[in-house]
Order: sequence, then structure tokens, then C-alpha cells
Amino acid sequence: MTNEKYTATEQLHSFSASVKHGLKLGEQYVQLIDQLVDTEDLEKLLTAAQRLANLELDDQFVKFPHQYRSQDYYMLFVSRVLELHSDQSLQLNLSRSSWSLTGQFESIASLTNFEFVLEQSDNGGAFFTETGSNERLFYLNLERRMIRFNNRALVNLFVVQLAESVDSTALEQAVNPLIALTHFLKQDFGFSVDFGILDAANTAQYYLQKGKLSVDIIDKLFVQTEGTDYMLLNMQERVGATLVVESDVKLNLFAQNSDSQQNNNWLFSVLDSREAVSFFDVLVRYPLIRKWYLENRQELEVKSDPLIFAG
Amino acid sequence: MANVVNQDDQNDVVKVINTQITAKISYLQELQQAISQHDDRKIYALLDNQRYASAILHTEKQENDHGVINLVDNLSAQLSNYLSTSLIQYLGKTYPFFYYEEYKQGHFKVFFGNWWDRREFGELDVLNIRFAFDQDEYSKLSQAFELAKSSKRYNSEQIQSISAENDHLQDLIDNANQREAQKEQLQAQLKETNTKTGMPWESGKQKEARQTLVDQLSELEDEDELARNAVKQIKNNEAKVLALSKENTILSYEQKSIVDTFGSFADFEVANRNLYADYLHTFMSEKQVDDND
Repeated sequence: MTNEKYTATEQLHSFSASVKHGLKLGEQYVQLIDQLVDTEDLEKLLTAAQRLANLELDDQFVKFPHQYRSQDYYMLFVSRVLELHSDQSLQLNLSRSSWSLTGQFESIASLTNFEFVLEQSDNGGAFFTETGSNERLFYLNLERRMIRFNNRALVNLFVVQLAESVDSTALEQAVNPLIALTHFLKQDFGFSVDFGILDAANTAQYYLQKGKLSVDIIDKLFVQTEGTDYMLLNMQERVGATLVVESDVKLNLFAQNSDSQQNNNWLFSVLDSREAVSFFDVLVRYPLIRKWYLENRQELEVKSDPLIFAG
Repeated sequence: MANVVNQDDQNDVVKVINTQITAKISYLQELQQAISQHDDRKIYALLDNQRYASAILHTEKQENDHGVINLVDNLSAQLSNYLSTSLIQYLGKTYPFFYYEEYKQGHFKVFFGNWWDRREFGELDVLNIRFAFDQDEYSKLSQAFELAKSSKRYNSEQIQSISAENDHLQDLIDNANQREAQKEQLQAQLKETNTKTGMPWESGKQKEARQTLVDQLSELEDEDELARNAVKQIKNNEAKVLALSKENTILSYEQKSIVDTFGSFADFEVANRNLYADYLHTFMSEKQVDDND
């Protein structure tokens, strides 16, 4: 008798311990969510997002029917980082039916919708993805503190898809919060960043995916500029060409190495005194260059971090 | 025969030698001084007195003394290099569209324009203050100006005919199915003609009809053959059109540069002819030198 009694007590204890564990997990969960939503401390914010993204909440004894998806904590994190810098341009929408979180930018809100998609490999991290086109604009990894833009996707979405129907100002407004976010991640958290073609620094080098370039492609631009206000200039000291697109904005396309003709890697650079114009801006602002770039895209495609975005 | 030297002759020879040496020395001294003072006008006068006299002083028939001028023949590269500084500076203002590259000491290539794939347009002859234009390139430009009078462009006719050929080739590719149907029809007709045995007096006509069908078939097969190579040919033609269009663009920039600076091609040619005098006159208005040379 005593044995059976003992067993029942033991079972109850074990049961209550399990429930406690589940509850504790739940308590931790809501605490982390509060932290993610309320904290003004940047490191605590990052920790909360990281832990939430990895938390296995479901327990055999305690179930939580309403949960955000792991990738949604990336979205919340991004939105909070912007908000802490008084940037409200990322609007979040929670779908009550699927408990999924998507984001929008005002200037292109009627045309696009964004969410994070988890990377399936052990590397972790997630891709900021446009849901309609499935274009993955950037990769974010909170553990490794890195962010990498995907140039091909940026061109597909903004330059091919949207530039025809939306003016360049709206496109630049849409990417501005992403650029700001990347700056904050670098400056506040020490992230390793790659802005890709969004990088407006004059030192930014946009290397071609293919490396080599046949000068025919430059000839084509030269011929297309005739009769326009642009003149394609021969670069001094380098093998390459310069297009003065505005009095203070120069687009260069040149071979990395000015002596050797072989194995030369070609790259774009954009120079302006305020360092405010990126290759992306040039593509969305100037129809002549956009047309030429898209017509010769196979040759002119700008490379992204090959470890994340192959080919 | 003994060696007899006429004393009088000897005296004359010595005199000649002395005079010549004095002339050479004074020439070299004058040149040295002109160089030390960077008196380029004087240097040019010394290097080619005849031209200087006729172009600047308007005194004809002053011949060059080759006995002194040849003294510096082996220094032409250095002199050219030395004189190029001021000349190129002057040309930078008067011919703002020309660019120079000293590919070896005293030798300058002239490039037309700073645009993409600008043309090498000849050389600058510094010692003679003249352009030695590449005749092929120059004649292209001259023709382009001529054509512009009737609103035509240098390569436009060629571009048009190649583009027309490409359109034709594209049609051949596009009409492959249609040709196939035509061929089947012709083959059927041919078969019919072969099996039909007509009256003896009809055989001539029959032969003729058969020949027509065979000819039509082989014409279609020729077109098939052309169509098979068309994709490659179209690509080649596109490359040709690009090269020709590029040349048109370059010529249009060259024409514009000349019109912007000189007003017309004729005025450009006049300026080239007067370059020597115009350049050397700039030194005279700069500082009032006396023309006693």
C-alpha cells in the first residue's frame, strides 16, 4: 500500500515538475517578448531576439496555441532597432489567422510585402524576402552578427519589377530604412555588413559577377549616349569609362588592374562629393543606364557575397 | 710632283674656316641663350630662319644657313620635348579637344577627344609647329563634314544595308515552317508529274513543268541553308553595326568639337595652316620683342 501511495505521489510530483517546466518556459517566453518589445538596451534587445528565434516553446504538458513563428522575431528585432532610432518606416502587420508577421514600406506598400524566411542549414539566420516575388533582399544572422545584401534580388525587385511603375524617389525611400538599419547594426552592435549596391561610399567597389568584360558592352553605352546630355568619357590612368550623370555624380566602369589585360576583374564605382549616391540609385534614377544595364545584365551583373548568394 | 701649297689659297681657306666657325659659335651661343631664357620664339627663329622670316617678318627669300642649322640635328628629340611645354599649353586653349601623349621623348601622339574609344588622330610636330594628321582618320572626318551638309552620316548607308540584311535573315528564320509546307506541296506535285504519262506531244511541256518544280524546291533548300547560318550571321552583323555606329558617334563628337571651337571645318583647316604664325605671334603680344633677327 505504502509503495503504491508513494508511487502516486512520485507521479504527481513528476507531473507537476513537468508542468512547472512548461510554465517556466512560458514565463520565460513572455518575459523575452516583453524584453523584445520594451527594452531600450540594445544588447538586451539582440539577446531577446536571438533567444526567441531559437526557443522550442512547445512542451508535452503545456501548449501555447498562439505563437509567433521563429522568423518573426527577426522582423520584430529589425523594427525595434529602427524604432529606437526614431525611424518608423517599417510597418508591421500581424495576420490573426496565421499568426505570421509581415512588414511594409510606405512608398511601395501597395506593391510589396516582406517577411523573413529561415535559412535551413546549420548556419542559421534568415532572409528578408519579398513575399510576392520571393526575392531575398538580404541575409541576417543575429548570432554571427552579420548582414549581407543580395544584389541580384535588389535589381530584380526594384530595377526590373518596380522601376517601371514607381518613380525613383519612392524606390529610394523604400530602401532607405534598410540602409539605415545596416548602419545601426554596424555601429550599435558591431555587425559585419555588406551593403552591396546600396553602398553610397565612394570607396564602394561593385565587382562584376563575371569578372571579365568585353568592351563591346561599353561601346553599346557609348553609342546610346549620343544625342543625350551624357558623354561617355575615356578614363585617364585606367582601362575603363566614366559617365558624368550629373554635375557631381560620376559612374565609372573599369578594370581593376590597369597593366595586365588578362584576368582582369571589372567593377563599377560611383563618385559624388557627398557620398550619398550608390550604384542602386544610379540604376533607379537614370533610365538610359538602367536600360543598358538590363539589356546587358548577363555581362554586367554585380556580384554579392558568394558564401551566401552563390552564382 | 712635289706638294705645292699656294699660300694665298691657304689664307683664304683659313679665313673661310674662321668665318664659318665664328658663325657656328655665335649661332650656338644665341641658341644657348634663348634656351636658358626659355625664349621659344627665338629658338624657333634660329631653328628655321627661312620659315620664320617669311611667316613672321614677311621678308621673302631668306635662306636657311644649313651650316649652322644642322648643328643641332641630333638634338631634335630634346628640343621638341623642351618646346612642347608651351606649345601644348597654347594648343590646350586653341584646340581644346586634342590630347597628347609623349610616347617617346619629343614625339607626341594626338588623340581626338576625351570620350570613350577616342581616335588616335596623328602626331604633333613640335619643331615645325604643325599637326601631322593621320590621313585616313582625317579624310573620314572631312567626309563626315561633307555628308553632314546633306544631313547624312558617315556609316549610315552601310548600317542601313546591314540592318536590312538582318531583317531578311530574321524573316528566313521565322518562315521555316512555311517553307516546310511549301516543300511538301512541291514534292507532291513533282511526284504527280512523274507518274503521269501524258501524250507524246505533251512530254516537252511536262519536262518544263518538272524543271520549274525542281528549281522552286532547290530555291527553298537554299533558303533553308541560309536560315541555318542566319543566327550566327545576324550576330556578326550586329557586331558590325555596333562598330559602325560607334564610328558615327565618334565622328559626331569630333564634328561638334570643331564646330564649337572654330565654327566650321573650313575654319579649322585655316587655323591649321596658320598655326605656326598664330602661335609665334602670341609671344610678341605677350612681350614687345624687337624683330631684329
